[in-house]
Amino acid sequence: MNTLLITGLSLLLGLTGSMAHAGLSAIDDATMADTTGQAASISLGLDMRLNLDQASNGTLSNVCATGSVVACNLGVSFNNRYITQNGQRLKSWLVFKNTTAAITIPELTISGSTITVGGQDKAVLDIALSASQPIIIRKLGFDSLAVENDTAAEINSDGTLNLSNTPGYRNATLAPGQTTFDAGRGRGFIGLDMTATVAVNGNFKVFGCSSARC
Amino acid sequence: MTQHVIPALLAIAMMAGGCSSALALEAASDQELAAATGAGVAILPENFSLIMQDEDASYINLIPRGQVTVSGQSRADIYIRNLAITRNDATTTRASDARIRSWGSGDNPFVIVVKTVTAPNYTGTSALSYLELQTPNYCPNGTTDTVNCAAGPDSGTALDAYNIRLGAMIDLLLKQDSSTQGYGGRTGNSVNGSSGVGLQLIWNGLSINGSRLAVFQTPSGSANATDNGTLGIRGVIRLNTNSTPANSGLTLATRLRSDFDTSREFITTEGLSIGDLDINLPLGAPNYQALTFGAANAGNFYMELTRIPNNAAAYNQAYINYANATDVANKTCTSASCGTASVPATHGTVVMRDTVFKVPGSSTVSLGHSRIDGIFIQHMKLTTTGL
Repeated sequence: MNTLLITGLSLLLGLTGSMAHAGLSAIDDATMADTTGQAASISLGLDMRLNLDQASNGTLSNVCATGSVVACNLGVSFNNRYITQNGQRLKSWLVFKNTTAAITIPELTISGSTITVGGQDKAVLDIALSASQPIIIRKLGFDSLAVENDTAAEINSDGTLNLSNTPGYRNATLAPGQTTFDAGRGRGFIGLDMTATVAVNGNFKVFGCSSARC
Repeated sequence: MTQHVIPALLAIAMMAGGCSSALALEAASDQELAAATGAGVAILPENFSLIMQDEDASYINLIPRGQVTVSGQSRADIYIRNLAITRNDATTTRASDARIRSWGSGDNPFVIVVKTVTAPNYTGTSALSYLELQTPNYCPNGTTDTVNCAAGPDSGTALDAYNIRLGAMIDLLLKQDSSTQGYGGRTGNSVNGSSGVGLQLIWNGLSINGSRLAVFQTPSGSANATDNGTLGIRGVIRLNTNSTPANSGLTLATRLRSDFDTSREFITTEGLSIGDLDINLPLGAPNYQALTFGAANAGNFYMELTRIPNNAAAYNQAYINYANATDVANKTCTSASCGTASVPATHGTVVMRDTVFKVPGSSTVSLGHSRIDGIFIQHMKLTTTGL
């Protein structure tokens, strides 16, 4: 309930800025004191699991059980990146196979504050994290990173999508040999797994840049 | 040079503008609002620290994928652990929670900005728009750079930005095809025996100020078709060490304490240290040279810093006329100065002072100094060949 009020208040206060810009009078101290609560911050908690199931004992398992299930692959194709085969341009993809993430940010607060810019106070948005409430990250990463190409031209000569093409990011080839270490993983040259408890402290002050660098 | 707006972020910043001036119960004047040009978003981290807790289940794992094909070879399974970014507290073992009180200042913050620059391309000259992340300018006490530090050197808590501590432990475990994936428990045997190597890296007194990273679409017209119209990255890497505080510099240690299994610490009186390591290195230049990525035909991946094109406007900007002292000074990125918007630095410097290693029960062995004043990468291509 408080959060809602505060959100509403921030919107209202946001409006105050533009009213001043339009030449209207600012709200005076007394009016403000009547209007608002004092703790002007929004607190948020984030708990997210991406492509991960959680068992009752907390164990995480991938939704895409093996590398042959390609729905959890994240493909990135940079502009003008293709190979030429039999006179056709086949799109190349950088594929992060079986991408997963579980992130818990216990508390993130957003409030207003001021800093000094050019000798004058400047209003800032203050996004704060506390080291006393560490961020918990589990299985952030992917099984394997590979470059994969489309199997046919992406677009037919009449401009329609070529349905016989298997896009590179849906390549289901498994790692060679399927050794114990690579069992069930798609082919590639490197994987990434960040599983960590990270204590981040800081007030990230965000404001409009007015220096010569902008 | 024209300027653009990043609308969504700006809207938030503007709202904050209205929000806190109201909290301070002062209306923003038209002049104040006009001063916020909206050309970019500035970010100032205060009281910053990041510490990855030292537990068996707390790591960043780079997993070697693919079958071992040569008899006797193993996989190198890399774990980055106990990563810490804090203010330099002169510790040589574990980071205390000393915070970077102000990483930059209101006048010299981190900036995310979209800009357009007109610069030489592969064949002529054209306008290029790019998105750039800039760290605060490198303006320590006593700086002589009056262009990038027109507002004067940083002062007060903003000097913490020139005295950062970066720490990490890197464990390299040998794995076979028959091994299972994962870290297991951390013991002295697993990181300093037959099955692995442990390394502690600590860089005290570090500054990243002056570093920049820009992304853009490369122009067209290059004879090398793969250089054209793709994702390009360029930047300036500036890692400078403040040699004044105790224990400053980059130190690498691999010898474990005898009580490692419980303390999980390294012996700090041994190892290799570089007392004052300064790296100031431009990578790429607006428009005509960029870091690009692509696929080699056999399914391999490459990363390429494209070659300097055969375009007089481009190579005259890139190359230095060593007979001209002003040209040398303007185009060389050093700790003292690193180019300007109108004359970007294209050559880098790397300085290592007081490189020493420490031997158990013996005196320190000094290897001397090393420095180079004109690193200029005309072309670089890194290709994976294992697939």
